[in-house]
Amino acid sequence: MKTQPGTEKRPFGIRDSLAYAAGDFGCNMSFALKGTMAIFWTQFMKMDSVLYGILLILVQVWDAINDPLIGTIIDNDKRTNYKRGKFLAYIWLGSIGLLVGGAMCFIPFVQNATNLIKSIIFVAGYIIWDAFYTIANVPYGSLLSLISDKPADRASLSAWRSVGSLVAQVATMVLLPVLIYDANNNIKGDVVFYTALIMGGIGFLAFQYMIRNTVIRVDENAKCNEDAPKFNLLVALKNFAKNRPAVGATLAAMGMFLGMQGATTAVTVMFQSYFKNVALSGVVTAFAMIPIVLFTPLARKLVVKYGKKELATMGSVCSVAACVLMLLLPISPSGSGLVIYIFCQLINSLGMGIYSTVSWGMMGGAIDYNEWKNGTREEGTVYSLHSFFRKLAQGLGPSLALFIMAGLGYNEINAGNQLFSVALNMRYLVASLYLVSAVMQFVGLGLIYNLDKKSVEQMNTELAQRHVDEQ
Amino acid sequence: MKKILAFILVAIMVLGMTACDNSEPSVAVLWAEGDVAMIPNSLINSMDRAMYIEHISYKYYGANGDQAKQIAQAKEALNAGTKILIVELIDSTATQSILDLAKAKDAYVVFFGCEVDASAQSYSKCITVTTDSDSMAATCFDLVSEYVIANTEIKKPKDGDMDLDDDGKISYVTVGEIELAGTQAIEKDKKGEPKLKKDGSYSMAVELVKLDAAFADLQLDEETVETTGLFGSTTTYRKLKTADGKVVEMILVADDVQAKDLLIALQSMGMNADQLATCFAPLFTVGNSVDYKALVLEGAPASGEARTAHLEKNKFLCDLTGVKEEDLAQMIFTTLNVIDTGRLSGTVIEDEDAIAVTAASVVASILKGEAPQETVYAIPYTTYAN
Repeated sequence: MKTQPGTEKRPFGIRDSLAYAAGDFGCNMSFALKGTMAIFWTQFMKMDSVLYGILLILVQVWDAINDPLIGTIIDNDKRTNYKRGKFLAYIWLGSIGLLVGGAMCFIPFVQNATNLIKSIIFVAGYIIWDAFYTIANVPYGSLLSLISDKPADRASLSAWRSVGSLVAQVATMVLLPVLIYDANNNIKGDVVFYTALIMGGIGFLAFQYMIRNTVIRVDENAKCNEDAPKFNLLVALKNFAKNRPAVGATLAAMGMFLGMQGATTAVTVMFQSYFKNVALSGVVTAFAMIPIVLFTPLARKLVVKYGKKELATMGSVCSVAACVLMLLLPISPSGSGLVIYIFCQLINSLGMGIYSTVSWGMMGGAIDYNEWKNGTREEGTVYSLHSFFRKLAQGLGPSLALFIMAGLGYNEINAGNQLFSVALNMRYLVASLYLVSAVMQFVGLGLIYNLDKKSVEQMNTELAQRHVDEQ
Repeated sequence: MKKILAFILVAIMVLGMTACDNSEPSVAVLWAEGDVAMIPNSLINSMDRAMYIEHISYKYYGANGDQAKQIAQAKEALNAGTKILIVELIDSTATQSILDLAKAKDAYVVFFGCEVDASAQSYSKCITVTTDSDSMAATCFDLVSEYVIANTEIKKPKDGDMDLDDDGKISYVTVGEIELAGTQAIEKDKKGEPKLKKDGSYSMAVELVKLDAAFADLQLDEETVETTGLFGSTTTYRKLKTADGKVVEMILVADDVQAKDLLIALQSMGMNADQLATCFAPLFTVGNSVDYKALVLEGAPASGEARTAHLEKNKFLCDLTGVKEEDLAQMIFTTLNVIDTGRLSGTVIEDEDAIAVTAASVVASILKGEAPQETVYAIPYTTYAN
C-alpha cells in the first residue's frame, strides 16, 4: 500500500472518494423509504390522515432536537481509544441500528390495532430509526473534513457524496414502486417491511465498505473555537434576519423542501388513482432527474459566466413556468397526459436542480456578506440556522400536504383506489405544491437575495483588501 | 430578465384564457340512483374518469331509484338543449318513454349499464352499451380452468390438492342458472394459447364433470385427510359428498347474492371459514354487488367507541342502520374481500371501467359527427381470484 512521505497514511485517491460515496449510499438505504411512510400508515395501516399528519409534525420536531443532541454527545465523547477513530466508531454503531431501524417505521403486524397502539408504534419506530440514522449521519458529514484538509480533495468527496446519494435514490425510486404495490396500485405493507430489512442489510454492507476503506488524515481531536463567544439564540436570529442573502437563500431552500417533500405523497396518490400505474412513478421521477445530471458538470462554468444568483433565479423562473404549464395544460389520465406531465417535470426539476447545485455556495456568499457588512462571519450560526429552517420545511411539508389532501377528499380507506374527483384534485395539488415551491424560490432568490455577480465581485475585492490591511 | 418575465406572463395569460370554456354542455348523464360518486368501485366513478379523458363536459342528474323522476329529468335536460342523453335506466319498461322525448328533440340516447326493452331498436339514434352473456360464460370458464390447472396434480396426486378423490377429474355442482362453457380445463401459456407437448397433445388437461345434485343434498364426509406442511404443521381436510357418495370438488354459483347464502351454509358446516383452506370447497360466482360493508368492517376497530365512530364516519359507504352488532360480526364478506380472505376462490364481475370507457367513447364519436353502431359491447368482464 502506498503511503505519503513521512506518514503511514495512504495518499488520498479514488478509493477514499468511493468509500465516502458508499457512506451516503448506506444512509439513503433507510432515508429513501421516508417518502413511503405516509402511504404505508394511511392506506395500509388505515391510520387517519389528519392523525398521521399531526404525529408527523411531532416526530419532525423531535428530529430537529435529536440532531444537535446526538451531535453534542458525539462532540463531548473525549475517549481516544477507538480502533478506527471516534467518528467511524459511531458510524459503525449507527449502521448496526440501521439494519432494522428502517423497518421499525413499517411494522405491518399491528394493522388491526387501535389508533393509540398504531400511534405509539409509529412514533417509537420513527424515534428509533431517527436516532440510529443521526448517529451514523452526523459523524459521516463531519468525516469530510477529517479525510483530507486539502480543498480539492474535499470538493471531490463532496461530489462523490452526491453520486452515492443519487445512485441510492434513483435505484430505490425506480425499484420500490415496482416491488411494494400490487396490480391494483395498493401498497403491500408486509412487502414494505421486508424490503426495508433488505435495504437495511445493503446499507450495512455499504457502511462496512466505507469504514474499512476510510483513512482519517486530520486529527479528529483538534480543538477549535475554544474562545468562541457564548451562543445566544435571540441575537443569532436577529443577526440572521438582517442578513438579506441568508434570508433569501433560506426562503428558497424552505420553498424547495416544502413543495418537493410535500408533493411526494400527493404524487404517489396521483399515480395510484389518476394514472392508475403507481409502478411508473419511480421511473418518471428518476427520468425527471436527467436534466440536472446533465447540467451538473456545466454548473461551474455557468456560475463563473453568469453568477450564482442569476443562474438560480433563472432556474426558479423555469420552475414557475413549468408548474404553470402543469396546471393549465390538459394532463389527462392517459398516455398523452403522462407525456405532458413528464415534460413539465423535466423543466421543473431542471429549475429546482439548478438552485440545489449552487445553494450551499449561495450560503457561503451570505456568510461573506455578513463579514462585509458587519465585520463578523458567524459561520456556524448562519449555517446551523439555515439547516434548521431547511429541516423545518422538510418536516412540515409532508404534514401540511397531508392536511390539504384530507381536505380535498383523500380517504385512506380507499387506499390506492381513490374517487376520480379526489384523484383529479391530487393532479392539481401536485402542480400547485410545485408552483408554491417555485414561487418561494423565485421570491427568495430573485427579490431578497441581493448578491448578484457584480456585488459578489465588489464584496470579494473589498474583503480581500480588508484581510490584507488587517495583516 | 424583465423581457423574459413579461413574455412568460403573457403566455400564461393566453393559456389561461384558452383553458376556460364557458359554453353549456350538450351532454347529460341520468343516473339511476345518486348523482355523485361515493365509492371508487362504481360505475359513476368510472364514468367521471372516462368522460374526463374524452374531454366531455356534461350535466348530471340522480333519480334515487324513481323512474318517473328520471323521465322528468330527461325532459328537463332535453329542454335545456341537451343533444346526447346518457341514461342508466331504472326500469327497462321506461325505454320507450325516454326515446319518445329524445325523438322530439332529435337527440341521441345512449343506454348503458342497464336493461332495455325491444323498443330500443326502434330509434336510429339510440345506442346501447352492454355486456353479453356469452362473454360472461367464456370469462367464467377461463377463470375456473386457470384455478383448476393451478390446483390439481393429476400426474402426482397429492393430498390437499383440488382433486380430493384422486380420479383425475374435478367434479362440481351448480347453484342457480349457471353453466360452464366447456368440459375440460386446459393449461395455457402467457399468451392464452393451449400449452402443447412435443407430440401435439395438451400439456395438462383436466376433465370437469358436473354432478347432478342440489347443494341442499350435500353432506360433509366424516373421513379426514391430513397433510403435514412446513415445520411439522398438520392440516386436516374434509370432503363434501353427494347422497350417492360422489365427492364434490368445486361449486359454481350463479350470482354473488346466492354465493353469500351458500357461504353461510358452508360455514355452518365448518367449511370455508378461514384463509387456511383447512376445510374448504373452491367456490366460484358471478356478480359485483360490491359489498362495502366488508371494506368498512375490515378496517373497523374490534369494539368500543372507536368502532362506533369508525362505522359512523363511513356510513356513507353502506347503510348500517338497523343491523345488529352480532349480525355485523357474522356478516359474510362478498366479492373481493371474501376472495382476499380465501373463502371465495374467484368471481367474474362486470368491468365498470370498460362500460364507462365504451359509453364515453360512443359519446365522443357522436360529438365528432360519427354514427356509432346500435349496440356496442364493452369488454365485459374481469376476474378476481385467489
